[in-house]
Amino acid sequence: MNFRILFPLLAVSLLAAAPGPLLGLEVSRELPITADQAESAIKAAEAVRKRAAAAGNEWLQTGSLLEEAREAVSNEQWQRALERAQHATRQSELAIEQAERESTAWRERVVR
Amino acid sequence: MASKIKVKVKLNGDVAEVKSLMMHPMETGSRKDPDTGATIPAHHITQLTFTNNNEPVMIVNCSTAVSRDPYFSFNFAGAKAGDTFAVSWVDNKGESDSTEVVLT
Amino acid sequence: MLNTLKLWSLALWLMWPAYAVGGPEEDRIAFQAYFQARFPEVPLSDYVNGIYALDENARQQWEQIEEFPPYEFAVEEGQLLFDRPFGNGRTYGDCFDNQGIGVRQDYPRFDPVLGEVVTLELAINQCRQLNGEPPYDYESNELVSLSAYMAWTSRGKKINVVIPEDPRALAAYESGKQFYYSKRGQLNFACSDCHVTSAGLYVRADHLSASLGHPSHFPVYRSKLGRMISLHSRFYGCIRDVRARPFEEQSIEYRNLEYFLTYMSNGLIINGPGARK
Repeated sequence: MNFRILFPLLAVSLLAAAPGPLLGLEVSRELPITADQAESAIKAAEAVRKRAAAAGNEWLQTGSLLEEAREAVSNEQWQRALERAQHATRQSELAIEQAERESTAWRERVVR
Repeated sequence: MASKIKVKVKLNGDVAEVKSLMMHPMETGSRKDPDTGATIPAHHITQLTFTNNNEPVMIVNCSTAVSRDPYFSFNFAGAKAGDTFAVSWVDNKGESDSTEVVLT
Repeated sequence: MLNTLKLWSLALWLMWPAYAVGGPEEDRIAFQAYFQARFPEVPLSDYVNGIYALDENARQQWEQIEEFPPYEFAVEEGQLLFDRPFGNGRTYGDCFDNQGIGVRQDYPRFDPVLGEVVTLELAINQCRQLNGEPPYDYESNELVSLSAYMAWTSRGKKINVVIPEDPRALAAYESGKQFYYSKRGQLNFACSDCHVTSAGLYVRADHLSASLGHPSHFPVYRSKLGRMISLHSRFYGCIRDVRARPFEEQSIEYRNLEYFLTYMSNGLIINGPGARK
């Protein structure tokens, strides 16, 4: 066991594996959400919500999710706004799928 | 104004079965108006008295635990046809209501 | 050869009703037959009592409440409102058949001029507007009390919703029927999922009633709320409860739904207003 070679070798491999934490640097691998991203997510969510409503099938929570997104924007909480808007979008997408499916599936349940 | 108390009394021998329904908001004073957020002031019956021939047979000291438009039912002994049975209440705002029936 | 053909044609012609697309009458007969088969010990006439036709324990509690019904105040208030003339001297009686007494069982009805289903509540407000009075909010005590009084005067009369020979009326019925059987909301329930398929079963702690007979006893005094509510208020609540965005009272969706539902209960008697938990 030649420690004079082993220890430096260990140190170098550790540094190579995770230079950031060891050197006292933490670099985030994701870019922060911008105001533009949040606002366009809200616009998109509102557009899909309108389509769900036009299909007569808007879900209960969608409106309040969008309200929370807008409130987050006014508080400059872009991440939160984006998450709320995306959640609202997903609800509306599912609602539209449901309405399309039900436009024919309802007949199966009619009592005969 | 006509009484907002309804009362029915059924005689079984000398035992009277009383059922009464009265209109009253019975606000506890803890509820908030959903639109304005303002607290709705307490407005509830404080004392309810049932008498037979002017003798009290039941006195109820009400408070916030009784809900809107209270319904009370109880039995009492010593009643007979021809008796005058009366119900009256007074509330925390000083308002009151009463009604009476003749037992048959 | 020709005889065989004639025989087959005759056979097909005789079988035709079985293959024909059923109309409202066929729907109603099937609907009522379904529940009678499902709950053989419940007489058809008892369905107007909702869950109390299916739950003995709840029925006993309800019968006690009915000895001194909580909706009596609303009926009395409704009568006072009904008898009071409008500013122009006319009354509600002038807007309805038979002076408005004992007419609930004929609603909802299809209005050929409006081209839409008119419920009793809508008709009350139409009457007000016709006579220069502001319409009542559909959730207001005044409107529900008027509806309660008019239901009271119809007690014992058979529900008689008519679908006239008008394609718009049939379309309204079909629209209500589709609404009833369509899954909606985040919880993905159709009205029929609870009130047909699961009638008599439980959703959490609530014992589910059958849809048959539902419209007979509205408006209803709800102990939970300490006040009267209309049928559309109940629609609103149910749809909110399956986490769909509800429509408004007296929206075209609810009126068509009421049209379909009440037709399904044709022949059963009006026993409103009712008392429920």
